[in-house]
Amino acid sequence: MSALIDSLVYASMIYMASLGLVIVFGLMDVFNLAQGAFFGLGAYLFVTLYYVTGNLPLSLIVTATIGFIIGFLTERLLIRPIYGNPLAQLLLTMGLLTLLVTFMQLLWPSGLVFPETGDFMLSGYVTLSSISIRVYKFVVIAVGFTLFALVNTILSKTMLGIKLRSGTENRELAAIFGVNISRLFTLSFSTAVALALLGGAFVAPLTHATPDLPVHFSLLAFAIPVVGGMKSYSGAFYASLLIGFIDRFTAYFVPWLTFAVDLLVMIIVLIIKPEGLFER
Amino acid sequence: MSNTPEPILSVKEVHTYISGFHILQGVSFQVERLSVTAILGRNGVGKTTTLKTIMGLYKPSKGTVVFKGENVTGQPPYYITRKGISFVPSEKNIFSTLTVDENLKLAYNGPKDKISDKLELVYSLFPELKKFSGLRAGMLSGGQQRMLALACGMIREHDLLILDEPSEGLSPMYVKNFFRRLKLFTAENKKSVLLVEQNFAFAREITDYIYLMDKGVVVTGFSAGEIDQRQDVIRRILGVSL
Repeated sequence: MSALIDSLVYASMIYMASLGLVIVFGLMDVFNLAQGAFFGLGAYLFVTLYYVTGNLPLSLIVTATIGFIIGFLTERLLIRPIYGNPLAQLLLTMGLLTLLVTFMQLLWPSGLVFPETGDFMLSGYVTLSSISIRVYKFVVIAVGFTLFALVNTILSKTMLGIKLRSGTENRELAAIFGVNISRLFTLSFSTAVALALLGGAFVAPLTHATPDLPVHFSLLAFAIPVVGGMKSYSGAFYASLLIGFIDRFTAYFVPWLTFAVDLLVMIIVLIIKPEGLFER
Repeated sequence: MSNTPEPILSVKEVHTYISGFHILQGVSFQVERLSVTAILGRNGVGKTTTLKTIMGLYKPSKGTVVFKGENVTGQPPYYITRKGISFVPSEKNIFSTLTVDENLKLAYNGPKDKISDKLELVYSLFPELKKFSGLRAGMLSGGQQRMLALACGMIREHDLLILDEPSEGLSPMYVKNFFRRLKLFTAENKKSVLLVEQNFAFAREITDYIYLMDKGVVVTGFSAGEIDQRQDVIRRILGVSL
């Protein structure tokens, strides 16, 4: 039971960490290695803001806004000049990852603990069939699944979704169809970074902002597009579920194997089905 | 060619390089308002590159593209589309992961309240597409995909329709039909058309002006009525007579 809930929680976390990565790669062919670092930065920023303001919604909004601004500036100043140059993109986002991780280690050398609060949703527990479970876990699951539903609706029902999918399939044709690709890129990248920071913020009350959080979720996030299909938006969700379950159940029964098993799944998928398990 | 004061599109001395190769070496021609203009030439003489340069997909190193009196040289493709040029490429001209309906909706860029009228109009031009409207375009047959591409070109708000090899992959019967419908559509809706065509036999009856291209330049241009007098130059450039 608790492994089941933990699996769903973990799947939601991974989904939040990887969604931006999949969107940016799907649309722009830019593999943003720094995505996990942005996720970690979100956790640190959010906990800091929460200490300062004591206001949860405000801290979330400010974190997401800062994420959007960082994303906007990163795309305009750093990514834009090197579109179509995958090697430069890898090196640049690698550099960004290192920079961000070092920056976080400098500012918060021993991590940040999310405080105990009197809030039931944040720090309370419920007892389900004699197991005590943190209520916030259900919040994280709900956020993950809502995000998935929201992304699906946007992609399938709105004009923005049609534009995103058209740009993912064929950028040149999308431009001929009147899509302002350059604006769509900026918007997507900014949103992706905002999502990463927001994801980090949402997990922080459970995981705390630990020093290894950014790297840990970086690696997990990289596994998602590989397992789910490099350009598959829904595949990202199913792959997160798959990894979430495999990871948590391994942790439950063979604790020393955890994390290694996630990357093992990635390697196996790469060998047997390199295009990913799920269709676009 | 003609004495009409302002053509809808005029291309002047355009040079375009693609990965170092000098593909267009000074292309000049015009499309008169409400006319159907055809560019003919053998494979690899730069016809498609000319169209893509007009659309802003390639940036010319020299020369100008003037559309409706505005110099649009080097503008991004979406801007040129919004200015009123609807371009249908010869290949990869639809989104196979989107449904037929989504392709048409994405192509349409006019006022929102008129979209259902426009869809109706296009489906009446291409009734074959209507029953597949909810299907992913990648599931359509080659001929149906081509129809969808043309439908997308027509549903988009435009003054100039540019078609790259519209008849490729369609059966001769269908091509004949298609050009007839195109003629009707352009006459009714006051559109100008620029087309690049290998099967000129079919397009001949709707074409007003013809330009011949060879080795990256437009060699000559004349009105459709002069085809018979120009047979020798046509034979020299195209290798066949018209």
